[in-house]
Amino acid sequence: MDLALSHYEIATNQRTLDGLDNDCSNPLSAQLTDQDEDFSESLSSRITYLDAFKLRNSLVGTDNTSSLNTEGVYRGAVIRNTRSLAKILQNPIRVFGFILPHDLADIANRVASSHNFLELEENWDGCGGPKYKYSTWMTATGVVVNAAIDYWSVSKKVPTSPAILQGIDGDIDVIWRSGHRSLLINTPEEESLRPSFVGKDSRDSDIEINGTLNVREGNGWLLQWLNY
Amino acid sequence: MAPSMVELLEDCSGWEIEDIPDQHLVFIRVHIDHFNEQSGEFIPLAFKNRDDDQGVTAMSSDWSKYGDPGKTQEAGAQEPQSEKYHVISLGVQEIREIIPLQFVVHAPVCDDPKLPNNQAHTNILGPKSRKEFVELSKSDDKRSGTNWARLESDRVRLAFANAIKTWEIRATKPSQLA
Repeated sequence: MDLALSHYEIATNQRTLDGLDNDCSNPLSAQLTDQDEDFSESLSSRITYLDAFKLRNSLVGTDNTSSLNTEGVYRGAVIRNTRSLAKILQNPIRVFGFILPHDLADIANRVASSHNFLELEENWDGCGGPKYKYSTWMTATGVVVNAAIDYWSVSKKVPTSPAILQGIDGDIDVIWRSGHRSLLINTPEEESLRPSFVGKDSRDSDIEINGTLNVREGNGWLLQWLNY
Repeated sequence: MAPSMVELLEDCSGWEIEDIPDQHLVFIRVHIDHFNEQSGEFIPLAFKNRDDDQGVTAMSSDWSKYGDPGKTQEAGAQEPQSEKYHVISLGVQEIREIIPLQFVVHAPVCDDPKLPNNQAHTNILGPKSRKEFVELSKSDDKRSGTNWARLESDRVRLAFANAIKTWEIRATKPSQLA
């Protein structure tokens, strides 16, 4: 999965581009302006290799990564042609740069609502509530989107919708529940730290999962555990 | 909120710090913006420590023996807008047994120049945020490292989220009043 980029990384590239305008001296800018006519659409959608990979696998039943370039995936960056993904998805939902299958509309709603965090100023609640950084939000919601798509594409089931919540120190918590199990995923403000997670089962206090997440991966297994 | 004349005249000198039985409840005031209506979850900021003038870092609550939800909603409001606050109750035993490293301690407020007298006042002591756990790990050799702090703080926040809460007073946003 060396080629895979998470939503977060793609979005980070987008932000870099936003700041560069048409500075073609920048290697990244030059690389991306070499795309086809759908390039601007590709950027706005920020589809990830990972999405295409999983969606394609779920629909055509292949695990052949070498075929990905024929799907229009630009090496290490953005999908060149969103039409290829549009062919895969029926009525995809676009929300703040993410693309989700229509089955995950509720999750898209949660992601969209949480975008309001970015408008909160310091002490927004009168109780010392902190500001939230774009990178924190993008990482937290990227984990949610990728995990949901990963789980959906493998299990063919729609996961429950998570709560995306403002944390105490500028971090963002995601709480995901299903049956007797609950899962907390914390994305710290510090970009150098990976999101961490802890999961509990109310039927047995000895059951717990915990660790940190590689945001380059789909992490759908978390939802498999949650729904076990 | 400045103490009222009635409170100033109240003789609280006989108030003692008592043991709180496990079977009792504590009332917690939650800012209206600290509840996520869409998901039905309280946000972590609802269960956050604050520093008082005596240097005690804790989350405030009111013991059901001496308090009631209405007083809790009104008492701590920093401005006369107590309707901005929900009030929920939690079981003392659940806090002590389910939520790691939390302690429920009676802490009546008496003749404090800034706060009204409150015999019900109770502190929920113990670290809540990752930064507090990091500080704790620095002062305790047995608990070391950022990873320990992150895991423990995640556990605490998930336990608070999972704790059984009973709505006592549900505040209404102005936009919902019509």
